[in-house]
Amino acid sequence: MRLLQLVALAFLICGLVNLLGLSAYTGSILIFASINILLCLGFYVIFGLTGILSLAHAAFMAIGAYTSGILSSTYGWPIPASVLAGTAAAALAGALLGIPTLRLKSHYLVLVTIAFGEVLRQMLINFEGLTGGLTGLAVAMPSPVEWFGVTINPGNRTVYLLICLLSIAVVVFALDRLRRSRVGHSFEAVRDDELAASVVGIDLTYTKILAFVISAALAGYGGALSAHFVGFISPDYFTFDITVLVLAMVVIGGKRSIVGVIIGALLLTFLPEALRSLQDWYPTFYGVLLLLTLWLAPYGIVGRLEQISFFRKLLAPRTAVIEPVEAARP
Amino acid sequence: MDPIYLQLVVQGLAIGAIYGLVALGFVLIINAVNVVNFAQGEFLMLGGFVGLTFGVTLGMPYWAVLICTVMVFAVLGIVFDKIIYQPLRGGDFATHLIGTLAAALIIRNVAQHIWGPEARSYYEPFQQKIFEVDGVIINPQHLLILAMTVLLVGTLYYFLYRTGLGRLMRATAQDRDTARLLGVKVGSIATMAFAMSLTIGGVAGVVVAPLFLVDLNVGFMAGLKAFIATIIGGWGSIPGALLGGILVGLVEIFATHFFTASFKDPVAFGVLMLFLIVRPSGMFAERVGDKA
Amino acid sequence: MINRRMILALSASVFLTNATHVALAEDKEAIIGVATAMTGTGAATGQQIAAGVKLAVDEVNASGGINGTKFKLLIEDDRTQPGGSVNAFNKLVSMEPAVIVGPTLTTFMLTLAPNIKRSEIPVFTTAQGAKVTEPETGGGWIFRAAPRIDTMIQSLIDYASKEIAPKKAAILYANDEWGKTGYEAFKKAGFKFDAVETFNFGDKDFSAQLLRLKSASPDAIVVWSSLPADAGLITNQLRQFLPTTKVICSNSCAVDEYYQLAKAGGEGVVTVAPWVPGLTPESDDWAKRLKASNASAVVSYTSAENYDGAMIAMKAIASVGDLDHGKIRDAILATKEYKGIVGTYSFDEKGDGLHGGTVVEWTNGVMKPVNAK
Repeated sequence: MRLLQLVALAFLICGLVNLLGLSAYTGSILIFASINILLCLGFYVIFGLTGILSLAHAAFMAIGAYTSGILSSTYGWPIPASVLAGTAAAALAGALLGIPTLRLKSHYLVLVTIAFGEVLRQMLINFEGLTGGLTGLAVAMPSPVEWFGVTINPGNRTVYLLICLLSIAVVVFALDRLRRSRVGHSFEAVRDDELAASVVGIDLTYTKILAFVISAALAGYGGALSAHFVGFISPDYFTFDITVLVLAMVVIGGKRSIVGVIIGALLLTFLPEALRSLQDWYPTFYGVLLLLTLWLAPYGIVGRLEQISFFRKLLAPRTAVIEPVEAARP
Repeated sequence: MDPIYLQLVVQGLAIGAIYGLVALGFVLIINAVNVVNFAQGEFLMLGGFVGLTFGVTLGMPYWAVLICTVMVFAVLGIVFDKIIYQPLRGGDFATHLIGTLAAALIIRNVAQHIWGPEARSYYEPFQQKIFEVDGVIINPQHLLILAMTVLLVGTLYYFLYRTGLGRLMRATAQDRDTARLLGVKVGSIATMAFAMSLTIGGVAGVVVAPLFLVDLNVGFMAGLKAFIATIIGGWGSIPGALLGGILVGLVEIFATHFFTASFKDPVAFGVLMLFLIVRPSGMFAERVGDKA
Repeated sequence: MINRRMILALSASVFLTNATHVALAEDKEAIIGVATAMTGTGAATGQQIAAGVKLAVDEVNASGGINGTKFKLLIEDDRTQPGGSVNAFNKLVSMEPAVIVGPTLTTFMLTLAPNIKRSEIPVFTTAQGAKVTEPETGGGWIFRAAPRIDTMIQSLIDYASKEIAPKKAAILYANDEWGKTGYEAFKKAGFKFDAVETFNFGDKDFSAQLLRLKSASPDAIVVWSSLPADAGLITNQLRQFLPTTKVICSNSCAVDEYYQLAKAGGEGVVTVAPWVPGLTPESDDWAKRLKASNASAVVSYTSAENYDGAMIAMKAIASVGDLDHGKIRDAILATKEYKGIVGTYSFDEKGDGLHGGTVVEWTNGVMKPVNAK
């Protein structure tokens, strides 16, 4: 896909949504959906492409959100600069977690990354002077800027949504390129067979850490975007729940495909909202729907769609989702 | 030894035995189907409520409560196997993680509708009695749990390593397809494992109710700690579950003593991370092939 | 440039936006929205909030409304998640409510604050953190139907320093926002602690902390937790190690649920409550009405405060006569000497309606008011 097409698409969606009327509710749901897409794209890099199940996504989000929040509110940085700093800090943290966990696999890695997330959350709670502790931290909201005589207010929901959508466009473009590049192939080689990958000369250390860095950077960026949208962050935000939510989005949509993770993110953002009328029975229905989807579409929704010829043509040939090797495993 | 340290060891052992008890539920499933059931903690919660219903609402004596809980959870285990595990069978680690957490969500929500969101208490069979030995306070409930955990570890170890059925179960976990080729009814083995695992979880819920209270929020944290115990002890190792649980219990309580509670979790998790990075296969060598 | 994939994406986006686009309510009733936890870890308190507001709305409607204005209750679940609370709140905002009743956790109220400021809708809460009603937090749109933490703690501190007058005191507080605020409030009031310990959410064994507190040999221990379950477990274990020390507890002990959990450990515990059930015939009657309307509803200060808050809100809306949020806000602010179930409400310029609390001691399973002489 070309970048220009994607950017045009972002403008189109935003314009269309605006035309339909953007209430406080619709606006914030769409913005949360876009942020979730960014988080899922980050998770796609490490889990879908490289096959590393790291459950520290919430921690990277928190690093991005808190870095950006503290820099902008306490130190008065302009928001674009603080968001970039948050993204960079998360990327750095990704490398720091990636290095010691290189040798770990499956459930051991899962546990160490969960532990990392918990330790970080406790640190946010304990270093109160900086982070506001458990009460949380009020984060600067974007203020209007004037460019060439035109005033743009990113605090406006439509503008914020557009920023999110444009970010998605750029990230999708970059990841699509990455996936088809040499680096992307080495990611996939590591996922499919680590030993074989190292035999053909792929640097496992470099590849895995790079996957951690990209994934963490996107999580940090998403975290920072959500912090400046809500205007307040607290450690309650960045619990294990949100990591599991991102994981579920990626698996349900189709972990091996960019389109898949976007579908997953949209579905699991809108589904809980659609189930609101069930009031306090919603978790049961949500759980049942999750189980049904896992059962009916074990390779994600995209995996299921590809079995239908109409969609196969639409999605092919760039997304190869079904992995027979995986299916044979116990 | 300073009586304070002795007291801390006693408490650490007691809490550790609880983690070990929950971890046994994990280990059993790992040994049968090599899957982690993240809903395991919720059975602890559910067991408390079921015990409360039998013991207080229906006024049954304690032994009858335990027997009825066993029956209820054996049935629940079969149901869990049929509607949660079997449909997702063959999925990878992430699929089972999401699937079992979705199940946990459902269990919690249904329990909230049956018993209400407020916490309850169930102090059977010792009420709130304690006794003192040489300045160390002993809670008889702790002794009951410790005895029960040790007994279960012995029984399960014997079952898995000395009986034919247990060997079949372990064989199934090692290689499902070969086991099936050799004529093992892998489906029934899984069903049996879930029935046993849930029973352990449910009974654990009844016996820890006096210590943890009967509370919707009990499950997640206990489940997480037990998962840690499972991994520290060694993937699928029965004695490892108990020792891992006790290690987690002791690290926690001494971390609280030396670093205050706000640094307890960072210290406990930090020790765990270091432990796994240095010794990735846990205390006991891996008994189930790492294929996930 | 437009290809099939784009058409697919476009049609999907149109579909999705339609799915979430909410039609506005057509009827003329004034809407009272409740955005709080109906599921998740905060469900117990959230259900009490909803029960209190529901009883208020039902009673007003059954008596034909106020000045002919009838009310409609909409409840949205925040799932005890910060992101969920923003969604629940915004969902209500798009239904154009007259007033919203918010969650009772201070952190959640602070999370909603930027949204409240932006949407300019009066919001009632029973969150007790001091920051909640600061003008820069909610821009004057937040009203509290509960005593602010420091005013409530002050009555407890007065009692403790005069009647208990501990030579040595210790505190064990929850490592959460409520526990921390409690500890700060005690310190600010000049209360000296010889030993300070904390505990975390999900902790079930407090012996390490209690043994450290014991070594300071205190005459009084303050337990400041946000959940009755934690307070129940702590006071039980505390009695094992320190059988005679006086226990002073946060308002999480001022509910019947607490005593039911703590049993013997709850006897003699001193706590502070915004409201004590059964002290006046009015509150007895109210408790009966609540139970009659919904057998599973819990009679507590939370349900009572939210009942009062909803009543004040509805009176203000009816007095204004239309849905002008600015006028409703002014009418709420002008409420003085309103006799509610919990007490007498007089709103100050920040939006705090209730002040102080009643110090009580658990005696034979009942909360008995005790007063400083």
